Amino acid sequence: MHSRHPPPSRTLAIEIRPLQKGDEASLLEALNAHRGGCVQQGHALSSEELAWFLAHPSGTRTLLAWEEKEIVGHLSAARHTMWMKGRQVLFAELLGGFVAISHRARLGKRGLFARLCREFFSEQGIDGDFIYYGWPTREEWRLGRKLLAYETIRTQVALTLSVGNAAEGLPAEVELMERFDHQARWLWDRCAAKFGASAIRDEGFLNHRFVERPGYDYENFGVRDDDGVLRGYAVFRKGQWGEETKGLICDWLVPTDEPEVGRLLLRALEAHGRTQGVQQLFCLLPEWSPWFDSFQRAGFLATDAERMWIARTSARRFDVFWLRTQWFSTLADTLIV
Amino acid sequence: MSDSPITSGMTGKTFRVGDFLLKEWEPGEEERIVAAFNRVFAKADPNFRPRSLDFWRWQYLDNPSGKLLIHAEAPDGSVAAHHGFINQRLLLEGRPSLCGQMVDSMVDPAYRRGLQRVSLSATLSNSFIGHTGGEGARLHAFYWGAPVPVAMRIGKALVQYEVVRTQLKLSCAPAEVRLQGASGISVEEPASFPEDTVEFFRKVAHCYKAIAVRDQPQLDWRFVRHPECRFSIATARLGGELRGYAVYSHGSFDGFEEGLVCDWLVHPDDGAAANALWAWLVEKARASSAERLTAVFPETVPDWIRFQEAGFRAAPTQYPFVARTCVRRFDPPWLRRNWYYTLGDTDLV
Repeated sequence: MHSRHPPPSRTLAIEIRPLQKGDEASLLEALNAHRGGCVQQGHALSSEELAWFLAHPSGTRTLLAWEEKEIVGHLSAARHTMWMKGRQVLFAELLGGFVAISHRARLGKRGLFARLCREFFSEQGIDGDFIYYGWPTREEWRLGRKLLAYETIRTQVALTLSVGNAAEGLPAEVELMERFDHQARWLWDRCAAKFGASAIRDEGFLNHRFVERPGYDYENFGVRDDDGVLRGYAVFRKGQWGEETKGLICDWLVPTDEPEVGRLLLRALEAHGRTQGVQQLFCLLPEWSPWFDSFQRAGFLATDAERMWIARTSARRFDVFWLRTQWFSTLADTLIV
Repeated sequence: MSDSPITSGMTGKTFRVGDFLLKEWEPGEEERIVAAFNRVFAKADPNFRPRSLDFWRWQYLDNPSGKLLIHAEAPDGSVAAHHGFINQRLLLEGRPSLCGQMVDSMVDPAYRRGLQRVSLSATLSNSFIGHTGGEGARLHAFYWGAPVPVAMRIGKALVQYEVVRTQLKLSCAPAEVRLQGASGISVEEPASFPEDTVEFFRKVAHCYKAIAVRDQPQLDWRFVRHPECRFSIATARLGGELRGYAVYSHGSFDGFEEGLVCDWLVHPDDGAAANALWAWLVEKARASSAERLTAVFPETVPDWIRFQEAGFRAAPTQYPFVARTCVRRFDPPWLRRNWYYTLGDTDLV
């Protein structure tokens, strides 16, 4: 005869608390053991990468579920300082998470992952993380849609360009920048008037994101005027999106009324892509941005990016419809690449 | 495929919930339903054009794919809430199925709080969807819609809509369409769809895991017998064999008056037929002084790329395509990847 009652639940107490100083080594071990977590990637996470993640300029949030001395659950987010309708707020990119196999039997609303989510989201609001967002794969979307209560901002379309064979070099007007300087913020200020929401792109954010990340090589191309003022920049990385290696345009910031700057940067990206041996340039831009159309006029095709851009919002006014039509987002807004 | 009009979705069930009788349409009730519809929408929208009985009959009763019409009847016999679904016969992984496009949803404001704790509208739809949804030729595999933002917010809360896709459109000025050779292809403008449409549809349908049936009765109903809109049809033939068709209309979509590619079916490998039909579309657009030609496809189908290679560029629309799935494996990501549709699948043109 079979019992109608479920098997007894685990009796060991689980403590859920934020990451504390001294937890790093245990977290690193757990992340690599569970192949997921705070920075999604195929390779093992190094201590340098974890330290880089934790040094994110706008901060990070990590919750750990401990069972005795073992981490059995984890959820992380990287914060971005945003400018949204004239005020500064924090958005946080959800970066996966895991629950140990021994605790996955109940992934429902009373399971450990649900507990982690509830605690994680308890600080959501105007004074905490205003919006949580992410780009889940189809499988992640299925797992998270109930527990994380997120909604789709956009089914993501990418702009892709087959890199030609012409042996054109880098245009003379384009420089390869070692680091971003204070002019990045000036440039962003010039562009931001047309954005309802955008991560503030200043030298602190950009250098952390595109210069100091261990194990990731980005090439930052800029165009300056005769006085050395930055007129636009684009960030290139040879990396994977899905199964294929592409020339990823990880960020793009050019005032829309300076199309000549955009043309120079696109020529530079294509030339650099050729020297890097990539077949295709790949870029995410909001469809409302005039650059979305300009890229297509330059030969890019709009193609399925096979990701959904999702958000969990804390204010009805700034719902997914608003975000879809107002948020200037690029691959800079995600640590996936 | 075309010789068995389906009247499925008819559950024969009624439900008593509070003071309301939840039921399917029965002959003779259409006048009350249309009157309620016009009354409710006239209050909500000053620009609303009253729905005619002829249009309603065409939309639902004449549809070769059948109908699903449910309403809540108040104690005085008036229509307190109504949901209309435009049925579509589907081929889903090659097997016959149904889906329903949810289009005419309304609750008389007098009854918005008709049930103490639950929405009357949600109760109405949820009561029937459990009986009409599922896997099989006479069940709806999913319900879908292309709602404006306000309707989306309501639908998400009440009907558990999930986003399949935030829809983009493809547009191009007629002069910018890159026309190429269409050797041997002849284009005709028939008054109605030819009999061999269904045979052609079968050849193309296997390219897609989910596609609404495009046979002569369905297409004639949609584009020839529409009571309010005029559509032009073109067929492309090679040596007499049907190789593709397109439907054009000059009309309004997403706030713009333009030349609309209302339907399009060409085998993904048939460049010549596509070129011939683009040439015809450009000619129609020029003749109606349309500044742009606009088409809607999923970005996961070959036509999405093919149109871009012909000069069309992607741009956002206000519409998300949403679904409530009744078969777990046909969830929104699956539909996003596998479902072929055009503007003509919607009620937006």
